[in-house]
Amino acid sequence: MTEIIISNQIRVLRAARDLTQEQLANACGVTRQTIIALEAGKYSPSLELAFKLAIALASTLDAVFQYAEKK
Amino acid sequence: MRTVRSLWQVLIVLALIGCLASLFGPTERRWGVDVGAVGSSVFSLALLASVILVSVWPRDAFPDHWSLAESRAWVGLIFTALLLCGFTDYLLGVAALEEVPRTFHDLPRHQFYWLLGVVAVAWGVTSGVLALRGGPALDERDLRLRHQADRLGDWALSLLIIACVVLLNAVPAARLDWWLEPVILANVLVGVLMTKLLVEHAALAFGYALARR
Repeated sequence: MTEIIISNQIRVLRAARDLTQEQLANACGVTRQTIIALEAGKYSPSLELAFKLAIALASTLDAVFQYAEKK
Repeated sequence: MRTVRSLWQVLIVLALIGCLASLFGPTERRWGVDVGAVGSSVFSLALLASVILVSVWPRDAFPDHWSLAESRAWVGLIFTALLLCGFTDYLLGVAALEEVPRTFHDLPRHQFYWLLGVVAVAWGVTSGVLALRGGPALDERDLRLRHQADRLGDWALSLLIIACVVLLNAVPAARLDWWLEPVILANVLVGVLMTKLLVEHAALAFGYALARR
């Protein structure tokens, strides 16, 4: 069975732009707890939130999120 | 901040103890003390104090790392548990009646209605006040967790209905006379709905706790 792994660079990109979790959460209209869950890889966002995150981090979707399949 | 939170937790425990003493305490005096009346007073005072505490310090009653929706989930769990306790006691009171109640007016005037009123007001005030903390009330992660909790609630409701169906088929009709009185049946249905509500709130609160691990 193929295992799908979705990872992200939110923590790295956020640190590079000197943003706090709270600031990023406000920019995307979500709670800080959701940003924490995303950074910990415990939550996969909707496409809408993924785009919002990419815009808030001044980046592209594929730079923020990585998709991999593991057999 | 820690003091406020600790105080709030002590008040909630006191309210729960008071509620249990008032509902399930002995009817006669023990060591010269009317446990039911004392429990009732402790419950009212502790609930009132905890609502005031949350109103004055809405940011400090819950841990910082909890979102508004998570705080509301735990508040909901506490209040639904209180309501179900009261309702169970109310049903036990109805079951102890000598005659089967035929109408709503035959039902005992019970403190469950008082509890229902108090809890509804306290729940409304607490939920409203928590929103003063600011930030999004509900985001997509909250909605996903709520959806999972709702599904669990639906499962609980299905299981309860199946249990009722099995009971109706398995128990001889003569023994079900009391349960099939419309007034009793209506109360049982209310109990089923309240159990579903409790399962939903418990699933939501524990869903948040599990998601953090």
